Amino acid sequence: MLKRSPIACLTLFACLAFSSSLRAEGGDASPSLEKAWTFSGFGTLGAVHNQGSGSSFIRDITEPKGATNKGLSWQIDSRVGFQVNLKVSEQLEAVAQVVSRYQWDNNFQPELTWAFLKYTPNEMVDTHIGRIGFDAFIGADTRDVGFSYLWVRPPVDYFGTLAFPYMDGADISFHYPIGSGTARVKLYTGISRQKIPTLLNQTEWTEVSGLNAGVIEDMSGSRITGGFVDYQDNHWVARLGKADVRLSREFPMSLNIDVLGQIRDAANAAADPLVASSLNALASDFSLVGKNISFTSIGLAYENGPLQTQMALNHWTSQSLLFPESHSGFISAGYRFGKFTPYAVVSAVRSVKSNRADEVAARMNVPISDPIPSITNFMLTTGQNIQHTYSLGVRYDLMANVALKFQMDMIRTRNCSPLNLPVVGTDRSCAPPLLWPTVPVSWDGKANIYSAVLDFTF
Amino acid sequence: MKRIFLISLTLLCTQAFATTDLVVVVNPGSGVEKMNRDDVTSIFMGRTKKLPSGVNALPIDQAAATGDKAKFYREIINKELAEVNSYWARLIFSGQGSPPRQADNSAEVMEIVSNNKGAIGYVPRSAADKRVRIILDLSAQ
Repeated sequence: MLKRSPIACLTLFACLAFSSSLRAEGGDASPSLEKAWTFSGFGTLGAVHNQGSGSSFIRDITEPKGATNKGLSWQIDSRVGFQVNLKVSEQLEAVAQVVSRYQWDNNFQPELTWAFLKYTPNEMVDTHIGRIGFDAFIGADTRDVGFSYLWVRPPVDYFGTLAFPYMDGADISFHYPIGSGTARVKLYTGISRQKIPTLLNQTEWTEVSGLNAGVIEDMSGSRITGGFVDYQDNHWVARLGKADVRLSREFPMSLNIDVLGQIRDAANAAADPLVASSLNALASDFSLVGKNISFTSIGLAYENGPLQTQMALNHWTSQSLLFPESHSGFISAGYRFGKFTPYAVVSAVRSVKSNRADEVAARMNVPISDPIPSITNFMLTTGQNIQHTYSLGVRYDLMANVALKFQMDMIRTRNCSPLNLPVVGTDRSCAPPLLWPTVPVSWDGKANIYSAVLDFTF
Repeated sequence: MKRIFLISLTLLCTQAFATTDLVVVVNPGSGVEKMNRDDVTSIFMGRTKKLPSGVNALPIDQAAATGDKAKFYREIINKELAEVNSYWARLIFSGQGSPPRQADNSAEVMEIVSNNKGAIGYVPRSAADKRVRIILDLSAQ
């Protein structure tokens, strides 16, 4: 029922979007500055088929189950959002937004994504206080609004690991006119409320491995701080940004696998003090509490009439071995012919591999297949992403507020294949890739994704 | 369904045969004599909040049904209305801004522009009378 009803709702809202577009004969649905209350919304009805050998494809790491080669998955891209704006005065506006999308707890429970006051004392400054978007990359705070971009979904290699849609906090922006454009400096800080399913929550995978299922990584309470400078004119958008997430909670251990505990027990049992200190250091390098994850990103977009291009690069570092350093990026171009805009995207993500498991094995003077190096290797690979994607698609603007899109993604993953799981085998065990909740134990790392979506605003 | 088809057909025809006769108009008391396409675009896309004279800008769009709105955006930035709406969706749903106030027709645009010092709108040349000042002729290349 939970899975069916959101789709029925979305179909209803898609119809609403069509009818509001027809009503636009006599007046437009776009909100006007003069109204005190404005109600608006957006949605996507999407179907995905994954032509891959037993893998399951997700849009981002907050989704617990993905699209497989069995029929169509409606939950990956479908979503609906409502927004209400209340203009209190020329300077003060209140905004609330609720979004229903597929989430970590395997349902479409609506979530309050924005609830803020916007204060604009003059045209040079504005500030938002309350529940605000995490504006980490260009477009990151409108990821759910499919109608606002060209693609079926933001490139997964780039946006897929960005787990924080919003935070409770404040931001301030300063605007300076430069030439024919505007430069902006934005600073923000807030507390995350996000939870994400970990690989140990993936029932299909844990059934194979015998590990306990049902583990949620609780990122709530993590402090997000960051800022960016950007420049915008009628053709260009350029942005340089930096954000830090200070983690407040430990990685959740399931009932029958306590990795940090196992490493610490091994440290306590070690006769050689050098081995003991090396294992204690390992456990503390895996831990998350008080550790920082940092993103440094640049984004560039150029538009001229029918041409739309965009590129972005991100460098991600962290103080925990669980989130390895990585680089990601994408480049996208589209050109409109009448109502059709064909586009192409190339994206990639590369995590830096660690040889810590080999160091541990050498220090302990045991083979790599020994339980401790083996589990170390398993944990080192949980946050790994090494893949690239070629995407081709077309957007068809059915109406001024409704777009139909088709996209094909060819994904090639080169993570280590979880051929031997820690409880199954003991040689070079590794975890399923972070962006793939389920993969077959011996995966070729290839998947072709076919998607169709209907995006609308109302 | 037949209605949708007829509307689409009419829209397609008007698009194919439309020649731009639009002019951009401001209030004579605005202190603005002339503006270029780039400056007008910045104001209608919400990037610039002031007219070149320093007066707070009040851009006025027309309802999509008049056909002038589509002509205006095609002429000024070579974008279709769906693209302009996509741009605004990014700003509306991230709480960054809202699109210009919308008038029902060119008569209402004239009314608002003639009564507001910072107002700026677009109307067919034939509708622009002495109450407003023409600062950009979109039919001129």
